Amino acid sequence: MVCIMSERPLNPDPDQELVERSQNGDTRAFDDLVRKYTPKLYGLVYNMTSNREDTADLLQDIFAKAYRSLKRFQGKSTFYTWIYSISVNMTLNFLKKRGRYTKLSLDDVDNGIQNDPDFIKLTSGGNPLKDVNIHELQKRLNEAMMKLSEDHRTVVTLYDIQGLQHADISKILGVSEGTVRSRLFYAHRQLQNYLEEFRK
Amino acid sequence: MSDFEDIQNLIRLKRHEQPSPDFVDDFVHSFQQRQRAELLNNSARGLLWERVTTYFDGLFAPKWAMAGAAAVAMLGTAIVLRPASQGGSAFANNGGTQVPAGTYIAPISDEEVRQYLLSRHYQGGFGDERERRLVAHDQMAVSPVGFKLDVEY
Repeated sequence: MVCIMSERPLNPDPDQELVERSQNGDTRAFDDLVRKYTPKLYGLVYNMTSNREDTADLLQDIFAKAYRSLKRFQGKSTFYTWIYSISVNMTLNFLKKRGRYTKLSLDDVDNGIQNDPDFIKLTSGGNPLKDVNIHELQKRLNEAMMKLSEDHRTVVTLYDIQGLQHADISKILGVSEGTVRSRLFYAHRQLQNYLEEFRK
Repeated sequence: MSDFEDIQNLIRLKRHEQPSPDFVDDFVHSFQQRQRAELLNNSARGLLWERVTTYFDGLFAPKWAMAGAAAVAMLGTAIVLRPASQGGSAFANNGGTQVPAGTYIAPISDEEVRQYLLSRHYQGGFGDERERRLVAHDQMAVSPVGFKLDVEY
């Protein structure tokens, strides 16, 4: 049996119509794409930079680049994968330019954390850190993330925080799934060391 | 439960770090402004480019026409003045003296033929023999060998 690999995504791209309209010069269609992907890409860039001002600026550049490059987008991947790839590449370039200097500028933690089962477990009666301060926890988590290499931080952001699948991450990063799993393994091991005091 | 599950659960708490609720609307608005500004900038640049190209088109068009006409004229001149030995010229090639085609040659009258035959060159002399011969002829001398003149002197 001959299996013919198609360059087009197996599943239809849910953004295809908006993309085609944008390619034909419909700026409103592109605005819809921006509105749809801003929260997701904000989370990606923010968790990689730990700086909300940098995130907003970088996100503007990402969408501007995507708009300029949209004519060349041929639909060989989904728009979702394509714009995530642009975002990751531009963020990694930004981090290389920024160097080791990291100034944390963190978003507020929403009230939903109080009802998060993981947070409840962390602050339950049997835990010695039951009186942990949310802001202190947030700071420690971000510092631990910043200690990771950029490649490791990327896979932790995409997999643990954003909930993407290994296969999608491998397409976005252009590496094998094995590489994604390997990076995750080493990143988790490092994080265990950095956040030892918060573990039960 | 994997070895890393607790650390993954901890890291997932970062999901609760969120920008202000107005962030997306504000961001989209500022992106629209930036995008429109870029479009205007591009269209202004495009307009400038169009004007520049139009100006240079107008400037260069007559010059190109003149250059083209000059080139055609030079080519035509070169064809006309090309040596006949290269063939294909406007001159008739009759193997001897070349006379430009179309040159009018008047027919030779009988009188001219007669004068030619009486010329000293035709008779093979180079000096005043003609006079002497004529004298001799007048004196009933014989005609030069090989010639018989039926003219009366």
